[in-house]
Amino acid sequence: MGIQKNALFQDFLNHPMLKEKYGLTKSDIPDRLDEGLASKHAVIRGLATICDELVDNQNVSTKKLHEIMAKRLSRG
Amino acid sequence: MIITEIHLENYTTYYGEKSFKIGPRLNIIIGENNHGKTQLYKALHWLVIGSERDLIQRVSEKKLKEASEHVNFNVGVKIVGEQYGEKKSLSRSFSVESREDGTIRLGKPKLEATVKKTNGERIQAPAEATLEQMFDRKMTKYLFFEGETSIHETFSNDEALSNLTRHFSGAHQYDDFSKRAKDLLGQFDSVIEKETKKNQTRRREYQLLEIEVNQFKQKIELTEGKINDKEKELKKVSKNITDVENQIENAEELETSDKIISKLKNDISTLRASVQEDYTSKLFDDRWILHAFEPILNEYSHKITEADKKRRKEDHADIRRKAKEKGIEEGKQQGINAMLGDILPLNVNVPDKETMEELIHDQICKVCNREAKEGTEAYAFMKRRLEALIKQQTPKKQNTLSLEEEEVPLFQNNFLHSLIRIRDEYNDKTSLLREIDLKIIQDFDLNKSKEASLKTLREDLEKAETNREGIVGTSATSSKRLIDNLVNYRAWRKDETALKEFIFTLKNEVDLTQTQLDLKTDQKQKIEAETAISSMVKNQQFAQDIATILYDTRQKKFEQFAEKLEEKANDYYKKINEGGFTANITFEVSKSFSGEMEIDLKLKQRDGKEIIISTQGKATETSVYLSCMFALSEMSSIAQNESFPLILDAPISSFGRTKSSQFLEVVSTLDFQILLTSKDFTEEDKDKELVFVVPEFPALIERMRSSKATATWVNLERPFDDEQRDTLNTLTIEL
Repeated sequence: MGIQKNALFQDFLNHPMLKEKYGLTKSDIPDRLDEGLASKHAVIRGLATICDELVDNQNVSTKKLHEIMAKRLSRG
Repeated sequence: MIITEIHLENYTTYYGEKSFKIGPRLNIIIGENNHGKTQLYKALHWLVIGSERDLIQRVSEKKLKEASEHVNFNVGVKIVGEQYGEKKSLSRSFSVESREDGTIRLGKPKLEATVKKTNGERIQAPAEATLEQMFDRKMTKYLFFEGETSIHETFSNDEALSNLTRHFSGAHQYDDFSKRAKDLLGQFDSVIEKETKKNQTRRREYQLLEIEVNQFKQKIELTEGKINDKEKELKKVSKNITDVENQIENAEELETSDKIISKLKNDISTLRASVQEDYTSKLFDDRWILHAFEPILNEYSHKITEADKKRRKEDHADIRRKAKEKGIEEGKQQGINAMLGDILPLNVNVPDKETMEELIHDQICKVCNREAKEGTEAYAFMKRRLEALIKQQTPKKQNTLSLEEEEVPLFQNNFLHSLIRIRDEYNDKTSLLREIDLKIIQDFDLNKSKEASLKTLREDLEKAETNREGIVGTSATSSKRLIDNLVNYRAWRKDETALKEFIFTLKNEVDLTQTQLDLKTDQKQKIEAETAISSMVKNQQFAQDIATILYDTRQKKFEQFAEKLEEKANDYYKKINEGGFTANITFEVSKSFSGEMEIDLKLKQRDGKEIIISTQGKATETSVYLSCMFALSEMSSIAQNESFPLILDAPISSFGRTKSSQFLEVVSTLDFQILLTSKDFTEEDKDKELVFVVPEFPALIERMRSSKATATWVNLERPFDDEQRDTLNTLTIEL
């Protein structure tokens, strides 16, 4: 019933900001969520993290989500 | 989820056990009013909603009557359906215990579910969860519709369509993401604030900025909340205005017409009251009766004058005769009289004593308008007349009889004198008599002219009333509604202007506060950038961008869904309305001030001009809303890979048989399940003894056979008395 992680992630990747602000090209856009989690671009990793964490577990606390997000964003 | 069977047990008119076989697409339940169609709808609704109120009304009275002795029986409804390859059954029922003392005890309703797995295993399933799977609770109010009005009420409310679009487009899931992203951003801010506060150098300055930023944020949030509320209010008011706007011209004309009619009626009433036709009272009170009195009075005067002349003539002759006989004094008098010739002297009292005294005093004869100076004959004449009068008026001494007094006058009693007085009195009033005639003529003329004016006014009134009928027709209700609408319209217009002004002020307030907030946020972020760890600030910026992407995506999803929905709705509308009224359904997407996505359903002509749906007649309105409903059902089954049956009780009662047939043929091709009741395809014979299916219906069913449509006829077993509910037993007949 729930929305698919990958489909959701792809929806977010269509946003023009990625091209306009971050200068990402087609090759920078991952096809799958797991690729997104490993992307060299922090904004992609952030979007992938949101999909990965929230689709499966909507009850995750904001604090926990922040920890995961901060870790993923800082990794690059 | 597809329903395959429905079972009713002792439910209202469904006495005993009754079943319906249901196909995957269109299922039509036909029957006369009060034969069980709506009861079937209510049974299904009760199964899904569940209510413990008024249970007794769900019990078959025929069954109750039958169970006069101690007996237990069940009342309930069960559906069997297929979902995700599993066969599920869901029932809601309660027991009825009829006791020997005549009392009835109703058991608590139970919801039960069984699931037959794909491997053939049949298990008892958690009932509430199964119900939730079979009928999405959020959707229930958009799956069950009782009558056309409920469809109109639901879909004419933009909120319903917005909610459905949000639900099916998946935008509601993006709502959750947006909210979480916002919370996450707050968390990033909070961490940075903590980090910044660790730095002592600019701590106080930072704390002050933080307070100010929070105050501005709170103020913006509060004002935005107000704007949101006011915008909702404005939307409602604007919708009300749009709904009645096309009637306003008529309503204003009607108002003017009513004012004219009221004035005319008032004028007629005033004028009618001023027409004085009470001639009887005029005859006596206003003395109209005397209008022909003048000739009579003239005749009377003439006769009296003649009689008086005659009397004086004879009196004169008598005096002359006596003068001859009596001597010089009288002879002298007679001589004077002889000087006058045969002219009859006036009565001695003409003029009267006072007038004569005045004439003598003024030395003028005012009778002939000549001077009568003292010493002249004229003066002496007046003096003699006065003396004669005084003499006549002096009372005579009883005992001193003179020669004269001994003489008996010719006319001992002057009766004529009083008749003359009457004549003179009435002659003085001749002008009054003539005034009566004049008054009669004037009154008649006035009444005539008033009657003419009345006739004109009545003609004008008739014209005004005809004109009014042209505006509203002859229905009093519609004229009342028009006037009410006009009154409301003016009030709404005022409200609209006031709301717009208020919203404008609030928005200005937000803009101003936002500028102040931006300034303080910049200063705050500057300190953060200088003091906090740079990676944290960078992450915060990423979080901000991620929140924006999530928010925008949600909006885009909503818009895309609305666009597809509009296309589908128009496809259905064209099919349902084939050969009929042509217009396009449009879904206008907008965003409320609080960021909520909203959708406005409109009907537009090809040139883009809006048509007010509610003014197009019930059938068009129903067609538009059903088209939207079908489009939503189709889109939901695509979006969610799941569909739910639509259960519609008498949704097309305004269509008439021909349009209903056309509609059903279109609907039978839809790829989702619909249960629909209709009274259009049965008829009662003249004596109301027999109900039969109209001849067109079997042919219609035959045409729909290829699309797996089913038809069931619900018909009360005869004999029955519709006043006696314990005689009612609905039979179900598959067609």
